[in-house]
Amino acid sequence: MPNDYIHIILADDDEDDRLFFTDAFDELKMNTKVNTFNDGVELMDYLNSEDAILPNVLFLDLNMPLKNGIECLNEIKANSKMSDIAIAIYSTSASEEDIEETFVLGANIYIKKPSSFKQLKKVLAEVVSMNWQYHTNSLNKDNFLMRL
Amino acid sequence: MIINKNIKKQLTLTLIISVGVSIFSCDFDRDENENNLYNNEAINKRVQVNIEEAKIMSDIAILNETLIAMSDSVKGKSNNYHVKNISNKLKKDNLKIKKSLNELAEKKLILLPNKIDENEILELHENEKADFSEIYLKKIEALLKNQITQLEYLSNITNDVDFKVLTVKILVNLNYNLNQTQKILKTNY
Amino acid sequence: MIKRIISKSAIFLRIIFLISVFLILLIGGFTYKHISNLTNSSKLVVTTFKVNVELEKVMSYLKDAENGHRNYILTKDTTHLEPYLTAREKVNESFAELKEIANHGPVQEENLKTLSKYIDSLFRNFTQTSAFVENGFALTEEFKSNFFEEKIIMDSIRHKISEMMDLENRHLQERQKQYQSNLEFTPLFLYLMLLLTLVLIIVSYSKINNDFKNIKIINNQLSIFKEATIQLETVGKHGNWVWYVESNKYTFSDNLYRVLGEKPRAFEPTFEAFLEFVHPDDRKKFSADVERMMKEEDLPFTYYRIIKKDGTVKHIKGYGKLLINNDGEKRIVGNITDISDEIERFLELEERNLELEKNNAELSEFNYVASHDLQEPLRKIQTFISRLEDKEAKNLSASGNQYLERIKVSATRMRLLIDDLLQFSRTNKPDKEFVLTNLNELLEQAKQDVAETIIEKQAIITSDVLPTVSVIPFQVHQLFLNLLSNSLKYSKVAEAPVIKITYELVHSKDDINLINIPKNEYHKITFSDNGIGFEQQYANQIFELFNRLHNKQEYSGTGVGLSICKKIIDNHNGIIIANGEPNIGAIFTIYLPI
Repeated sequence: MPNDYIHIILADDDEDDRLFFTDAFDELKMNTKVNTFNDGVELMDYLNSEDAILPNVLFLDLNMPLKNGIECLNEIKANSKMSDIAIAIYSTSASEEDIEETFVLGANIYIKKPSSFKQLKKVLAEVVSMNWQYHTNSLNKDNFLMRL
Repeated sequence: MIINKNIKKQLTLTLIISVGVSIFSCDFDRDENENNLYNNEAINKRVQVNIEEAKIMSDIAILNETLIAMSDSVKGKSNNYHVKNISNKLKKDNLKIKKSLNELAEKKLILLPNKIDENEILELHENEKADFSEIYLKKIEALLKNQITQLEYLSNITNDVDFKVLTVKILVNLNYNLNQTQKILKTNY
Repeated sequence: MIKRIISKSAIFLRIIFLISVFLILLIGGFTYKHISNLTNSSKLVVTTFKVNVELEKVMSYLKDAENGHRNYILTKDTTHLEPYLTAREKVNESFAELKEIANHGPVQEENLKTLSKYIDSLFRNFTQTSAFVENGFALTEEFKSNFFEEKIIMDSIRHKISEMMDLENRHLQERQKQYQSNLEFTPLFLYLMLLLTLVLIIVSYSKINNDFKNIKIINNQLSIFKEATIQLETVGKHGNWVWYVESNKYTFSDNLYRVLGEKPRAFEPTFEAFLEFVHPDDRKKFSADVERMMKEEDLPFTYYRIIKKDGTVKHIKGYGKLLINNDGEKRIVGNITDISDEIERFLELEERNLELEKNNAELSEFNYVASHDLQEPLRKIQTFISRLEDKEAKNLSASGNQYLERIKVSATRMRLLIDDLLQFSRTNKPDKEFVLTNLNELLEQAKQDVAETIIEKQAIITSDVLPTVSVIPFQVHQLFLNLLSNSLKYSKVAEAPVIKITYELVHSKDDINLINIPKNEYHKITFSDNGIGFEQQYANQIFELFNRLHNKQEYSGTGVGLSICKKIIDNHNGIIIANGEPNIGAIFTIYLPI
């Protein structure tokens, strides 16, 4: 890794979820730097700004006001500058349609928000330490959805 | 169906032809032809006519013979020139007539008698009262008339051309002779 | 078929009739010829007979004449001469007859002439002899030679006459022979012809009789059909029409007028008159259809509306078929049906269907959204509970921890319920995609989903090789998952769960469970376990929604799982059957149609 830190960004409109997320990473004590955004517009503004530090992993919630996760995903994938970002969809729903759509649009992994804090930490740790090259090469619908 | 109509026409035609053929095969032959060998009525009629012809021919033959005999017997009995003349002529003519009669009779299968009326000859010879010539002429006249009548009758009843021709020929002769005889009778008696 | 028989029979009968007529005429002709031949033959016999008679008469006359003449010579008595004198005349009469009737061949004519000459010379001879006798020159040499001559003439005459008779007889025989050959042949021939004609007549009579019977039967059937059709028309709101192709004329049945709302025969049946009733919007299409019918001589189903005179609109279904009769005449027989009722009902049904679908969709939607939206807060609750447990457990009192534990349990239960409801609503989705899927893969996925529990309980799962079937993959996955979870959940306390999954291809007639099912082949998959089982009397109950056989203290559960299984099986047109024995185990049998 070129950097010391693993740069993580979360875009989620839910305050509690943002709290869980940051707390989890705090307790994980991995070499991570976490940023959160409240909605899609804020996220894209940041990412598109000149001095943005692009994250290594972006956790993207689907149901956000102003600009939802699908729209952000499209924009990011359309932007060649952001092609290195590993995108993890982080959502409450695990509906077939959402999984399918995000897979087709180019997300790297789909995570259903767990309901226990312990599980959350486990999932985040796994995702962050994932070898993304390897994962993307052999990506298919089966290993797209993260199995808890 | 169209085939049906055609068959109808053909069958009708066949019907007509078959009717025609069978009628034709009947071979109608009505008794219109009188020369038909098997027609009884016509045959009978003709037979009757034939019989009549034969009878009359016979009578005429007898008359003829009588005339000849009569004319024959004038020889030496009359001195009248006219009478002698006429008797000669009559004899000659009647002989000719006899010949014609015989020819025709032979042709027509009629047998002519050879006899004469004896009575006439007797009467001619036995009658001394009147003049022989007169009697002779009168008798001749009667006989000729008789003969003519017979011939005319024959001419009427016959259908045969030969008979008609003969009668015409003879009648001409007879009539002439009769005329002559009557003239002589008138002038002399 | 009946048409062909009748038409064949018509030609057949005509032919027979003509043959019979021909034969009869033939017979007539032959008979006429035959009879006229007979008549001619008999006439010929008569003629020959007459000729013979006349010739005999002639002979007799001559003999009498000779006789008489001889008597006269002997006795010199002229009374004996009488026959002699009349002989000539009588012979003439006979000749008169013979002339006409004797065969007029040249030979016979010559004969006749010769005979006449002979007779003539005979008579001359007689005259000569008479002369001799009269003059007293009897028995002189001359007289004798004359007498001798007479004998010769007589002989010649006799000879000639017999010659003529022979000739006549021969002629008769020849002609008879001719006739005979004709005559022999004809009667037999005629008899055979008559027999033949009789046979033909009998044959045609029996044929005609048969045909007549057939026609009567057909007529009866037809009149019944006609009556039935009229009734059918009236009751079923149909109308019949016929279009005569060649003459381009229409006939309408009485009921057709009634369908249009008119009295029967209210107007002339023409295309234009009918068009008046057709709805203005449909007139163009209708006219086009009729034109096509005239060209193609066929009218497939057409639909259009008519407006009755009183303004009501009716929907009409029309149809026509070509019919060719015996004489080759074409006609199209068709009918129109008032289907307004059906259309209305159909529209009604459609409306209601739409409504129901909308309702269903709404309910599904509601179900889904509710479940989904309920998940959020529940998840938060559970996460915060877990954080409390992690962080603040030591700060809480015993009862506080207990309460927390209770809250956690309730929250978990709620989560289960919401998950199951979510599943249930998903299986309700109207658009179901069937995909050919390898069921073994779905089973593996299900096993993986409960991998932890399998390891924990040391469960042994064995399975046959499952087929590839056209299914809704995620639903069947759910099905397998629910069944496996149940088997694992309801296992005996001290025993490790053993789950056996078997597969068999069965035919509906071979399996008791498939009695009332449409005949087909089914995939039979069984899930059997050695768990706590259940009373068989509850076998149907357990598939009901929210129905449980245990309370939530003993075994967790929402009572939704098996309902979901049933719903899934229903979606696949299959059957699921449960068999249980308390303390032995449970067997769930699934039938999926191929």
